[in-house]
Amino acid sequence: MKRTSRRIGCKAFVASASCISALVLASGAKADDQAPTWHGFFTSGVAFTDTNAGYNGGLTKRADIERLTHLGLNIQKNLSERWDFAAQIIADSNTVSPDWAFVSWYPIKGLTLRVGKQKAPMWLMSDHIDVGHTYPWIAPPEEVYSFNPIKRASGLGATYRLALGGGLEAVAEGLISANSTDTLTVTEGASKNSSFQVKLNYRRLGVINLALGNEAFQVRAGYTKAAVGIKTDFYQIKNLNAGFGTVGLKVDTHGFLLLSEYASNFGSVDKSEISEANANLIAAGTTSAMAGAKAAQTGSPADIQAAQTAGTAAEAAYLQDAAVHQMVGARGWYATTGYQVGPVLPFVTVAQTRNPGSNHIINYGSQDSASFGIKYDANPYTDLKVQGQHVWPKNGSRGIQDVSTTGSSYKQLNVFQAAVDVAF
Amino acid sequence: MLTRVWFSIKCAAFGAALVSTSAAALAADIAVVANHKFPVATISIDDVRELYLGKARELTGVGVVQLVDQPGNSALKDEFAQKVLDKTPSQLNAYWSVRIFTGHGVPPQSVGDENAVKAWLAAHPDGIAYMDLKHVDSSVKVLLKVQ
Repeated sequence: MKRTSRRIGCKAFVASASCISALVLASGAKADDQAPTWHGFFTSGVAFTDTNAGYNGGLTKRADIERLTHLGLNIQKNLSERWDFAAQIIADSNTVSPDWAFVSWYPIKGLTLRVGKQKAPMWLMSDHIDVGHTYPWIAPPEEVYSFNPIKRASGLGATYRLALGGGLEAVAEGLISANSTDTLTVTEGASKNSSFQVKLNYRRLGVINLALGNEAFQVRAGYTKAAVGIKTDFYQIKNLNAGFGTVGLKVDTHGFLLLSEYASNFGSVDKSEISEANANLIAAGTTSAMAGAKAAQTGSPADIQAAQTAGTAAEAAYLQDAAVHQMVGARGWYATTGYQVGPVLPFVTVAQTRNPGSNHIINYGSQDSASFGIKYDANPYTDLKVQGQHVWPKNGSRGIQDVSTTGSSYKQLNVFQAAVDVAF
Repeated sequence: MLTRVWFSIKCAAFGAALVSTSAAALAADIAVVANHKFPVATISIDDVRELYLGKARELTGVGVVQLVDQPGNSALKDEFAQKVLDKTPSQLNAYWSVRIFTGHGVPPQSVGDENAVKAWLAAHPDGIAYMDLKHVDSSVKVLLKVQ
């Protein structure tokens, strides 16, 4: 599932940050004399495969620049000695939207409290996943980073950091949210016309992440739980009990780099939701097949349009079915290693995703992949990347390929990507 | 013949002096300094690292501390990053990119050369900075020396 844009509650975004800022300033706390600081990041690139079957949300032989191009702008301001404000917006080819905004309070040494819209600190790269300049790949491995829809939430976040001496530290980070929404635009399938809005609602969200280490070596473990509702124009899933657990390792010393994560779903879903999803998939798939056959026969614009609409509905039904099955038992891992020589970092990644969940029609989400990439630091603020990846779907399963609309089996494929990242 | 030998010796001596001068510039002693009113007399290298990496904003016995950095293209800044922060310039840039774009802080500001740093410290009793040890004078208090 490729996420192409997102929108969040602007009212909550502005109201929470403005209200707290006003309270802080009204309390008479002394404001720092620093002006707000502005920063930004930009990524652009191209991606394509060697097959016309779609991969990871519509990637085909046709060169795709849109999916890798986005711009972020960031503002931060010291409100007082112990209060800060930070906000970020992000723009891609479709929209400009708030990414996050929150106020931070530093009441005692080691403790930070944050209120507002925040990225969920679930994996190693979660809270800066859009900033390509901060990691070696063109995008974090999809075997781990693609199967969690929870990106950000409005609520209360906290970080407690305990310095253990000699640069060693233990960090606990968490986020809780009573009720939060997010909207994604999903492109699924080889047809670029197959896109629709997915409205996500998270209730009783809790994220905890624990890390131990120093700048050269870090181990990390996290857990996320939430009640998730999903709504599109085609279907509604009322209650998924989502749960994700992760462990990660980062080594970055003397030029040697090692990044690795393992993630697993511990969620559950009512049997009634599974039955509804199965039925919807069968019905939508049948309708789509019939509409497609008719369009092929008549060639009329009206029938072609009807086939495209039915196709989009079928792909949405597929996602509904995939969502209810992937909530239970899906897991993935990756390992990346490289060695920096001057400004050049060559690296290799192996990754795997397994999803034992399946219905009688489709076996989901199992694939292996291996990739080789090079990151070149053109200067401290700009890097260039190229990456080639080979994907092996397992035992005829779909993996992260898009649903086949032709009934053909899922085959091995290669993905090629190049990008430039700038931070300013 | 003797002229050539003498010329070679002079070239070697010049080269050695050049190398030693460069080495000295790269191996400057760094002083972490503060206003004379700064509440403590010394600071540990661990505390300096935590402050300059934005992991802490206060010191025990002091409270919230203000910081200034050296200019971005400064050799001294690179040396401070290596010796105190344990990061190459590239690693330090990547580190701050993560903190900036997660909303967890921005790098300390820079104010200019050592005279500007001293003027800033004079105006900020709660501030610390670092400079080449050879530029330290009676207007600042040395909290830590890093060789």
